[in-house]
Amino acid sequence: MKPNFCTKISIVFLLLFNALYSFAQVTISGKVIDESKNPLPYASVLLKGTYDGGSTNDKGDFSFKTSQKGKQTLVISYLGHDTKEIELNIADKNFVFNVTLVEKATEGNEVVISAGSFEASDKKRATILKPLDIVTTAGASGDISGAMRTLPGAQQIGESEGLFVRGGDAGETKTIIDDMVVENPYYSSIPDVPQRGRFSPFLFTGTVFSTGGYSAMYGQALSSTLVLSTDDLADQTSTGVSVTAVGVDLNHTQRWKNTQLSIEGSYTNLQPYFLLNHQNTEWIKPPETANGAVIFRQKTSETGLFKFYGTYSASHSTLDFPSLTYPNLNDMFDIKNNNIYINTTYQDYFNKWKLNSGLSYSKNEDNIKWDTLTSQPGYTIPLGRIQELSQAKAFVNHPLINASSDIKFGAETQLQNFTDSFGIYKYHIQELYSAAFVETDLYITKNLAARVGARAEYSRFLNKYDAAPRLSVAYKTGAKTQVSAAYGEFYQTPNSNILELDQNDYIYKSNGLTYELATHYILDYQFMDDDRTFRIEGYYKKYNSLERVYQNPGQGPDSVIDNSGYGYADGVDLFWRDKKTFKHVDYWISYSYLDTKRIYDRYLEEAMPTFSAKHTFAVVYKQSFPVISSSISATFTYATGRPSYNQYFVERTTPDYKDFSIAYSYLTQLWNNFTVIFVSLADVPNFKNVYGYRYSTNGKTAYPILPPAYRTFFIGMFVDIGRKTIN
Amino acid sequence: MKKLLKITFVVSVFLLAKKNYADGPQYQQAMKNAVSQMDSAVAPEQYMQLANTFERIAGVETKEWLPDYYAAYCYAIVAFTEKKDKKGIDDLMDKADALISKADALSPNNSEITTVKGLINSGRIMVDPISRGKKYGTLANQDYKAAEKLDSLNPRPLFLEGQGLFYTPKMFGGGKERAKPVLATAVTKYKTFKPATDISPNWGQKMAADLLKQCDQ
Repeated sequence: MKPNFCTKISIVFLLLFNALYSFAQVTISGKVIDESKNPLPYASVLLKGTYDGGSTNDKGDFSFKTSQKGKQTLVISYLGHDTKEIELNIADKNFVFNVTLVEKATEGNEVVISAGSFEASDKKRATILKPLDIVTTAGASGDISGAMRTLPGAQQIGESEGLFVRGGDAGETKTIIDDMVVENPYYSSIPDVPQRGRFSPFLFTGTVFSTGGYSAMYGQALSSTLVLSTDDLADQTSTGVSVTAVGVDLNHTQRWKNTQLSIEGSYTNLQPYFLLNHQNTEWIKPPETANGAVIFRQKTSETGLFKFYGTYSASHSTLDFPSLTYPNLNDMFDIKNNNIYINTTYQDYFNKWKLNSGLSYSKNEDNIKWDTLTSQPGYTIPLGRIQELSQAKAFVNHPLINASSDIKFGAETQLQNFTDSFGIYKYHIQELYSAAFVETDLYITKNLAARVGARAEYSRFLNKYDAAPRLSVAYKTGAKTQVSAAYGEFYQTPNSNILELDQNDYIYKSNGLTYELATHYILDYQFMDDDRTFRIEGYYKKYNSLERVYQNPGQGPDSVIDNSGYGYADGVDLFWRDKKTFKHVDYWISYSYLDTKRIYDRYLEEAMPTFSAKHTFAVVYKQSFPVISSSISATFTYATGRPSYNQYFVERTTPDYKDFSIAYSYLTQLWNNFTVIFVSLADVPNFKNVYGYRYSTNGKTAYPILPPAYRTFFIGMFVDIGRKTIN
Repeated sequence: MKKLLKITFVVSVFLLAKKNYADGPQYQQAMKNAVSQMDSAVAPEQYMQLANTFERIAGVETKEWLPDYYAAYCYAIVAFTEKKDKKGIDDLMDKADALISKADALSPNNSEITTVKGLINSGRIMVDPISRGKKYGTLANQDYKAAEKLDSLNPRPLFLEGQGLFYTPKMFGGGKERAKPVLATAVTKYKTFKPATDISPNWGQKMAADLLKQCDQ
């Protein structure tokens, strides 16, 4: 039949729609793998902007059909990896693609710059301790420093407060809150009675305890820094009450959309507590303290945050202790303390720049009456000490090169006023300290990172500058292991003895003194996964220009103060933590080997300092029993004896130090409110440690320095009133 | 002849029209398939594949909130059902977060979207219950309360709230006794709930009923 017009039109239409909508589909298939050649299961493969696509199977293979034609984009993606796009031109032929996806660099798989430091943070996952770990550690009494002493690097010193790190004394460690230095982190010193930290661990969401090689952001600490970070806004409105064997604490937090206001008051009186626990120290008036604090936090914008923390505390205590001057007599030591501390910070982002700024002010006033009893009744020497610090600091942060790297730089200034009064005599020093720093964190590859920084400081008191390099490198040797090294110079202005120097001038001027210097070299190896951590770290610290006080021939005692002191500290720290092997059990083991000698202060020769022990060992064990809402913890600590020197530098060694403490906590409800009951027993076996010796004037008789108490019992109850989850 | 022409013409036009992919029927069909597969899914692998499917649809239908919503929901369920390591959970929740935010931008003040935001927050607790329980538990409950306010007939936020209580230890304010009344209310609401379309969210009825039964055991 001859094709008529209608048929021709139909054929044309048929050919037309055949061209427009071809039933011939093309198959796109292939395999998706990662850089280690592992298949990526259930990855997504699709043609951009179309419905065509599919998922890979458990072997990484995919296959789908498409009717699309012409220029298309194949998009292959998988969680945690960079998405890949491939341009293709679809005609008639099938496609086969073998695609390799690269893992994204994230906090979990990147190398971590960590040499010399232990971090506890709620924000980061891969940290060694969580803030809650600090509070639940037996023997730490809920004190941050107490918990840090279970980590390698901090020595077991029971007669004095502070952290004594790797052969350094307490003055060589600085406490920092929200990047601002804290002048008085502990309550005022009382002879042979170590004081607690002023700040509750619940204030902080992040703790970084650096045992060496710390960042260029901080200075004026020869050995280490304890860097504490407060939380952003609290989660919700709540009220907390705590009643313990030593006092009461009341706090209330009010939370609005972008604002938080908290107030806290506490009162502590150790008198009833000392009735329960016999004390070695003879208290005439057991310590009584009253504290008040205000916290205000405000979100100033989507990215801005203003924080204010202000606290005031007053305390009073009196005790008797063996006289240093008259053997067989007691001295009375009465101390009244007032302390005010204010810390305000503001941070915000401006494009990619992050601004951090802060202002802090603190004033600590001690009024001491020091009396030698019975020899001259009524004769009291009033001593006073006022320490005042004002600090201003600002620094900026900006990403550099890639998403993980950044550069920080900034400056700070501190104005310090120290006044000591001794009867009618008053000595006053003022110091104006300024510093600037620059530091970059460079993530060169996912496996190699370096932190390079420098810090320059000026002290008006010394009238000298210093410039300190800081360097830290970390290399990831495997999926969970890395090697790090750190080097740095750390300067510190010596000011512990200068007030005694010049008794004629009321305002002292430095006389050729210079900065003390510690140079750190650190090398470590670390294995870390979510539940287990192992770290071994070796270090060498060289001390130069340490402050020395001695007698010039023909002149009086303490006639020369200079920087002729020096020393070294080296050793190895080991740490192992395991939260996985035993169900509901978390334990860690620390061991430190320390070899150190120095000649400084009033030392007559280079010797091992009194605050160092050759071997220190600690085990912390925690187990929870969810069925009975309880958990227990136990801490065992051991350290070899420490040296003690009399006036003629004749050495005695204390017996080895041993401590075993246990704690039990029970979670319950009091009228529907979340409640924790906490009970602890320190020095369970009554080891009766000796921390050192005091000597008679002829140096022949040694009086042992005992802990304030032997076996000690403590009980406390904390109620969180706002914790009702549903109302 | 004319008939053949007409048929050919109609068929061509129909096929031409089908070429335009931003079209109602294909979207509806694809979503219907995926949602019904989701309703019968049990294994995490199935949810992963469905998440990919929903994201694919979302890539084409850039004005619709449901594909992003369901993709977010699927990622969250994977985190709950697969015994992933801690990093894996956060990665899945981050992905779910990104998707639910896209849905939120397309349909603000949406009760179902707010409910899934709460689900994502509650999932993050799994990484470290002791440290994260308080923060993310509080955030999840705030989301559920907000979702209930946005639509008092929606049973899903009540169900998730009750589920949260069921799995929260008694001393933290949870437990079976506290969960029971909340779950009972959810089950009642499920019975009378009518989804807006046949692809609107309608999950959770059986899970809620099962959990309520467990409260009595």
